[in-house]
Amino acid sequence: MSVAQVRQYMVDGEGDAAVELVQKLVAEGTSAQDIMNGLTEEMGILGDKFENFEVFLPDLMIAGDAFMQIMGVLKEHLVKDSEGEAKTIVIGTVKGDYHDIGKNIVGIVLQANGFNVVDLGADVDPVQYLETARKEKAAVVGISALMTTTMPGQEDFIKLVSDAGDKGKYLVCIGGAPTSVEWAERIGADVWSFDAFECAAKLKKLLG
Amino acid sequence: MYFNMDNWSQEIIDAPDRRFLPVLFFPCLKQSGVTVREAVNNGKVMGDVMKVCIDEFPEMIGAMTGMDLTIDAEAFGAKVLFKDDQIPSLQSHIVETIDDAKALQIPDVHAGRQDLHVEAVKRAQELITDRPIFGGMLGTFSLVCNLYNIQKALKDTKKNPEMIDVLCEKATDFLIQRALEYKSAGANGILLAEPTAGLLPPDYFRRFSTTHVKRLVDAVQDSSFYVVHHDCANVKMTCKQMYETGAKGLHFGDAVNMRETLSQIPRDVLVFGNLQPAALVSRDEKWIYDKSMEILEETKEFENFVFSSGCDIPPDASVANIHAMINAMNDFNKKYNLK
Repeated sequence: MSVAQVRQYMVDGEGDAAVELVQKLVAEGTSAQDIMNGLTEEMGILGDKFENFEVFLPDLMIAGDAFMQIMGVLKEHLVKDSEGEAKTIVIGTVKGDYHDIGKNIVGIVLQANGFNVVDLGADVDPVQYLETARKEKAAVVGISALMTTTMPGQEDFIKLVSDAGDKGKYLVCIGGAPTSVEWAERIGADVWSFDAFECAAKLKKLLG
Repeated sequence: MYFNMDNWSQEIIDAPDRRFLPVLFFPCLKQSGVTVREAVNNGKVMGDVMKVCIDEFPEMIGAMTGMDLTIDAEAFGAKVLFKDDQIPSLQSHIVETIDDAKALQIPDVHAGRQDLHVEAVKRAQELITDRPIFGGMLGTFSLVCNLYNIQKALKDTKKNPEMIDVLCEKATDFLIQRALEYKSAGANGILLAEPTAGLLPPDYFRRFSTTHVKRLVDAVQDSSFYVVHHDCANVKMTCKQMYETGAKGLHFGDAVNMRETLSQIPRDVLVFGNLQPAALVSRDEKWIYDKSMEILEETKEFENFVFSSGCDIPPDASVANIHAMINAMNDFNKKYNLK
């Protein structure tokens, strides 16, 4: 019975077994942060394996579901253990776009890296991003677009941020299959990333 | 119009010059003065736009119906959202449980908007007689994802594979029927879009896609009817499984390196790819020209390569950018005295 077993349950998608074990470990004195660190490391390993074609999207999604289940019980203990507040990232898929697999994976990987994630779902109005960013005192707003026809919604949000006087108050991060670093530069986004793992790495570096 | 597609394919392989067949329909709507909504709801209009595409880009070695990939799931009862400027998208799924999957009835060949594609092919044949006409449709696993839910389907390949097996069988029965309708209407082939299969590991790809697509290919492909099997995901590890379907054409997206992919496929199979379609919206002509030339140069030694977009070109793509692709190909052919 150890953190290693929790990690294995997560990889296997055995969320119920993982939650049961986490509750036992915490009750017996294992630090929630130690468990979280183990899960973060395991997610990183999965990310490397994904890049090397050793695991595939279904594996990531199944592990991600288990991770979210574990977080459900780990979160309250983490708040007690934690010395500082986790940075908040608001994420969603742009208005008119219902694709959310990539965005969901980003949310899971960001949480695994210690960020507090507020997921607004798909088809999100720019005003909703703005209001949520203000309410949650977000450090980052992440906007996904999976279609060329919905990419301009990312630019619309950046204009709204500027018009509303919020420029510089939080970073705007964009991503999605049709986007590129050049597109991010053109519309004035602060961060663009190829995938969830690169996104987490860049934001960790930028936010410290 | 009848074409011996084996001869068509061999002629391309034997020809010294590089040829062009992008997945192109929607960008020509503007010239035609019709919206996406009109084109995907009227077979005659779709056929007319196919002709406009050929007139605008005569270098295309075939004509394509609009790749509206909601038609297949819609025939089963899924709801579709139509917009004037966007390709239709599904608004509902019709399978939740394994009982739903087992009870799922295979729709009639006329259910939903299937007749529209048949009508489009017939109309296009009246207008285009000098090159083959291809119909667009989904592949098995991609249809399963549309019937069920892509996230659930991907996870259930591991957690509940029996359910996915049931859906794959039914989806394939339906798709065979649909491909045969295309064939009866006089289409010379199909472009079978199977992108979500590319998200699976190799053994699952074989179980949930290759086996079923092969059954479809065996049922419809012959010298008069050519199957192009498309997957725009990163199929670096699974292009062999695509080849195993027996499809005579394989079509790839920009997620793979074209040269590496070509080197894994026998030279008697036509291989299409792979300029990023989104770039045709967001980049300028110079970038498109340079990127096209890069793809053509790196694939120079492969006589079975046909220059294409890596997936369906979006409605808002720049026509000038598509011409830049062709300009690059023409310059490439001149540079090597291929024409």
